[in-house]
Amino acid sequence: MLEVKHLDAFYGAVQVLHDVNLFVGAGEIVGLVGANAAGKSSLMFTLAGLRTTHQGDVLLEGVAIDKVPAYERPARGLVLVPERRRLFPFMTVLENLEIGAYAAAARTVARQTLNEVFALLPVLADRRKQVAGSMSGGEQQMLAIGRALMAKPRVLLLDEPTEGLAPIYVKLLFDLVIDLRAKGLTVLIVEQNVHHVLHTADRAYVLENGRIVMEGQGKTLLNDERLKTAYLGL
Amino acid sequence: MSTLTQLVLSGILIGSVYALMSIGLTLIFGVLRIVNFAHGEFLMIAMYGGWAFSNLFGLNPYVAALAIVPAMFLFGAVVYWLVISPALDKPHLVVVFATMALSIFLQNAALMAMTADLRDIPPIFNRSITIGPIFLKVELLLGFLITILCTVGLQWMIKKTYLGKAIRATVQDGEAAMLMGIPVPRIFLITFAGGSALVGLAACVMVPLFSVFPSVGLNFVLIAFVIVVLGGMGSIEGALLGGICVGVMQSLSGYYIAPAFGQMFFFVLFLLVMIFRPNGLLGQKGAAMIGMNE
Repeated sequence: MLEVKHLDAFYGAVQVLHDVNLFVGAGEIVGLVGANAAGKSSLMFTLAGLRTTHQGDVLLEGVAIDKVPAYERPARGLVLVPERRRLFPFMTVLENLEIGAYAAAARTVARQTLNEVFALLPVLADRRKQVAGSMSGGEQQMLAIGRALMAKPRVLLLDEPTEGLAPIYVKLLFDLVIDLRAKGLTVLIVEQNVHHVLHTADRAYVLENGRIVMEGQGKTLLNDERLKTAYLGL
Repeated sequence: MSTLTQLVLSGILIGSVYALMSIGLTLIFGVLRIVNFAHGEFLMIAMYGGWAFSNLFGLNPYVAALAIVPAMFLFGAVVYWLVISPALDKPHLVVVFATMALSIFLQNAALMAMTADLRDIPPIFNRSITIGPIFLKVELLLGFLITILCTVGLQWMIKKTYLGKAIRATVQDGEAAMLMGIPVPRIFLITFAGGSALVGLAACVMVPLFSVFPSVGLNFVLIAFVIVVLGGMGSIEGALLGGICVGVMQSLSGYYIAPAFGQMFFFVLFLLVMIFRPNGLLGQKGAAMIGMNE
């Protein structure tokens, strides 16, 4: 579904990713873990087409998308829910969701998608008139995911979705991710919450200093002593 | 008492015309976060357009607006493409100097093409409207009406339409807007061109009231800057309020003190507002942007 080949990425002259290769199969949940500043968010932004310059290939269903402008990638089926949610704080919940369906194809079915999103995330239906910035962190995260779902993505990139959330929302969120996979979505998820993500993910990659250093089944990695000691300091 | 009423009403009407000419500036600032220093020259060009339609075809400028407003939209789009867009990702001063240079270029091009002569169009309406002892110029009343319609229409557009929502999203978080599929460069283009079209409309309202000459923009752009900052940068209702304040101030001081001091008084007002409400009358702290003022 999503394939990354020999990806180098740069902020100006500084290289932040080195020869990253990864693969996310259709209907898989793939985790990406690593210490702070390992390059997880840089990878996510590079996949979404923002911030970095890059060499190498990003393929979505076999089609190269790395030259496609960031704002056309949602229409191709790839949507990033960025770190710290990045909602439109002065707009209502409903308006945030409407913006999610900006691409022409998504807009024509927006009404129907909206009902699906409300069914999946009932809290948003109750709060539809509320200004996004005034909601709790957990509700905001649900809105950020709902907003991304409005674009009808096939691949969803989640960057640190549980950051700053109450434990109840962390559980809710991982349940939601499993739900989304059941609905046919492919998910690449970056997490600090290693334990949770390795339990949930089918496979995972470990990123260190901009390089992929380990990969494998989530649960296998969880028991790997090298991961615990060297990369995550657990 | 009737003198005072007359002065305040005239001030409100002329102020609304000033506001109309400032809305484009505040819109562009609110969305693109740039100040277009050639704003006055956009006004000048469009005023020459209004004069030309009247002079060549005998059309009054309110009718000519049907051609001038779209023409200014295109002109804005071309300027965005040639001057603004290449400077956007450079340090902020680049846009300042680029639009400054454009201003000087357009002024001198106009000087070359049209000479420095003052151009006027023949009066459109022969009579004022009288209500008791109060006289109101029809041109000003029309200007007031157009400004109100524009302000309300623009607010509606920004609050309710999809384009308006995309503009607000772009203002609130440009990067997140891109991630949601909003073509931010196109939003910038439309906003800049739309702001220019609004200056075109303002010019059509102003041609019957003021003479046109190559540096006419300088007279008005200073007022526009005061209005935009006074109202709260990026606030459309703020521009209307700011415009009316300036108009009334000018009208009162012009009568009771001396016309020559008119500018001095609205600059004093401006300083007072800056001291006591540094974000402008309707501006929100740190949120000098379209759609941020709820």
